[in-house]
Amino acid sequence: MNSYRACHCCGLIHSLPDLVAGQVAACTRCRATICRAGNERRSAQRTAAAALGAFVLFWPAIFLPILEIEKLGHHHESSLIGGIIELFAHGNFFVGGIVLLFSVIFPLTKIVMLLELSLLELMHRKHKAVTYRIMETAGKWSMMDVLLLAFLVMLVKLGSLVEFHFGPAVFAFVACVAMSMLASLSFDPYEIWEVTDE
Amino acid sequence: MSEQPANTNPPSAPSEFPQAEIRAAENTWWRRAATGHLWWLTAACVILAVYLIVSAVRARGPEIAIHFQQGHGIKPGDLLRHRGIAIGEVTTVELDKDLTGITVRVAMEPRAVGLARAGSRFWIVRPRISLGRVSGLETVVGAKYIGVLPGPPDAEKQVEFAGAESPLMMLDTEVVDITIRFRQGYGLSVGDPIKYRGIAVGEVTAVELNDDQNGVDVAVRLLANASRMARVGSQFWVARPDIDLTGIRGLETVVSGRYIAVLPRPDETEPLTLFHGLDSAPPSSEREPGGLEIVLYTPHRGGLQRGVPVMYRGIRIGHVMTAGLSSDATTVEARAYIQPAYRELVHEKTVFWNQTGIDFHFGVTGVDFKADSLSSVALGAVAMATPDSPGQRVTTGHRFSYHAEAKDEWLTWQPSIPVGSALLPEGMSLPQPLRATLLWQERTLGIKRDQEKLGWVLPLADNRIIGPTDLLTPSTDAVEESTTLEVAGQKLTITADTTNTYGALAEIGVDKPFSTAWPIDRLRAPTAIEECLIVGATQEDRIPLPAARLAAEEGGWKIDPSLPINPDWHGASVLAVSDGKLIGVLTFNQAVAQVTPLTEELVFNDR
Repeated sequence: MNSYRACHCCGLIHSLPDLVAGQVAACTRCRATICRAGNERRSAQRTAAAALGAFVLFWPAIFLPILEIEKLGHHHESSLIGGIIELFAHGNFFVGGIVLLFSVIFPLTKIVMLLELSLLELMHRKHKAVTYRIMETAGKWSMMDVLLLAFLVMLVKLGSLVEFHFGPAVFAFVACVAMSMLASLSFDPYEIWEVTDE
Repeated sequence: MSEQPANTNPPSAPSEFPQAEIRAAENTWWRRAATGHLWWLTAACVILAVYLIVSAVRARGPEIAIHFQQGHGIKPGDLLRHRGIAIGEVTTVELDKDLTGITVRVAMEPRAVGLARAGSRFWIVRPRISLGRVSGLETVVGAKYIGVLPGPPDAEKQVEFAGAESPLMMLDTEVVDITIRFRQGYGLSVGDPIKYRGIAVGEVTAVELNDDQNGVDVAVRLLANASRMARVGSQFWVARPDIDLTGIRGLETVVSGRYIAVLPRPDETEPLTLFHGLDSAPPSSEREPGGLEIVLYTPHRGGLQRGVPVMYRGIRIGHVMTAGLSSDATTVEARAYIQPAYRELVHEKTVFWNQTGIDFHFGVTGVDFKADSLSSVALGAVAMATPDSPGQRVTTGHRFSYHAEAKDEWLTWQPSIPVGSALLPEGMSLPQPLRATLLWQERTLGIKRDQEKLGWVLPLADNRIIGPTDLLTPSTDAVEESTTLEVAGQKLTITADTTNTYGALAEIGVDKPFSTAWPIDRLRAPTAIEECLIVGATQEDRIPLPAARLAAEEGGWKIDPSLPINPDWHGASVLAVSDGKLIGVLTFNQAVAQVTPLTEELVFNDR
């Protein structure tokens, strides 16, 4: 089966030769690997695995306590969702909304879309295209990693002021960020079209 | 370079596209990792998620709800503490729907599951500062927290509680709950203490009007060591300020809050859980056991009233407990209480009279004004005197006539009655050592010089005097025949022949018996160190000498140097506390005090 594919590195379009196991197609200009033999194409599987892992970890990450703060006898323990609810309760709709959007909704959308694209091969091509575009857009704004960075900065800044512990959600959070990154790295948009084509 | 056009959307100029190079896949580990299966990672994620969720759920103990009338600023995140450590956390604080209180929900740690049971009491700890006590001070700057007093260990599980409005101080589980019914609450509130002998032995846990609305039921929790007070016959009353001319009592309750005082019944009686509280302190609370109660009768009240002191030579020895008409209204009868230490003073022939506080005499020289103490100015006092031949001792209930004035002769009576032997078995008299002066002459460089030595000696009933050897024997430097001993106005010539020495103690014989001689049957030679009492010059001068302060050494029991004893007490008598017998003499050996015990020879020496 022959098809064309742009090198993901330098953008040069190649026609793809038939490959047998153990062979890869490489770019003639930059020598990057363009494509693998059909039975070694696990991009969709890998994406599905990583996205599923991220999806499973997403829930403990947002619902379990992520921070435990103790200050002058006040003990405070809050989860991500709890923090957002608190922000809303205090009237900080803007900040709360931003955190909710970029740390919960967009990451979740991205993970779910990746799962959908890689796992469910039943979808119509048009639907797939829409999903893919949404995923691309939402993925840009998925900022779980940024939130993690914010927590780390807070730890460094407040460490001497208050007693400060990470809750169990932090492990889930870090793993979730890593898994969703792995999922988007593994995702190979070419494959979704190939599968439909066949 | 593809000849065959591709499937659906062939590029415009397919022939210009180069064919990708075909290359053998590298088989390095990162290549394999980048292309291999990832499902194991998914499995790891699932395991991590399940582990985190399960551990978080397991770390969550039972959730309880506590209803309070007042929130006192408690808020989510505040802690539930027991014995100083956090065992739970407030999750929500809600106003009840009917606006009559609040409900605090507390997520408890799993280890605190035992506190979620019937009978546990919860309260909000907040600063309580009064002159009586300060508590909850840490909540001034820190967060409020909820305190808990666990219920009985075998109680059933419970998750809804009614919180106590006032902090409970006790944390002991071995407690006894009783109810005391008072006619008046006198402002008692939850958390007020029950005191006995000035210390808290319990605490009020609830105050409520009883069902008939004719009294106040006070629920009281007694500490374990006070549980014996919950017996038939114990008396409870609310201590409150009591100010009258005889004194001020319960003044601490003006500022520090009320408390319930208890007078337990001394003997073992049936346990009881419902008591009827007294309206005021029972008169017997002012008495110690062993005192004497007598009745004074008089045609006219003449200053007899509750609290008036009974005085002997200006010393308060008791007080009037009640005064009122006799049953046939012919006389006024007063019941007076004499403290146990002084009951020996009251004998059959004792007289009582009204001592007005102020004595006016109008005469040609002007006004003569005498006043006694301030309380006697205001109240007067019951004075008493006992003649030199006092008659029999009296027992409780003896009736005495109460005179309006003293006869002059009464004031001259001076009976010698031992009193105040509180440390000794009841009724034991005390020895009366006599001041003794040993006088002798020494010759130094041919000049005679007078020397003297002071101390105490004790006359015995068998015409002996015992005392320290150095006080009863002539000094080695003394001039022959020059040594005399002056005791109670008698002059005794002392030679080596007159004295029998027994180590550090000595005895001499006398011709005339002393009136204050010590009975011979109250001598004992001790075998080991025991609790003793040093009796010195006057009846007030007594030094208790615990056995722990004594160290056996050769020739005597050395007294702990930290116990200051005036060297002037050389020769004072030492009694055994156990039986009141004379067991030794206080002597000083180079300024070191010691008790020289009596020896068998000294005790059984019959002259």
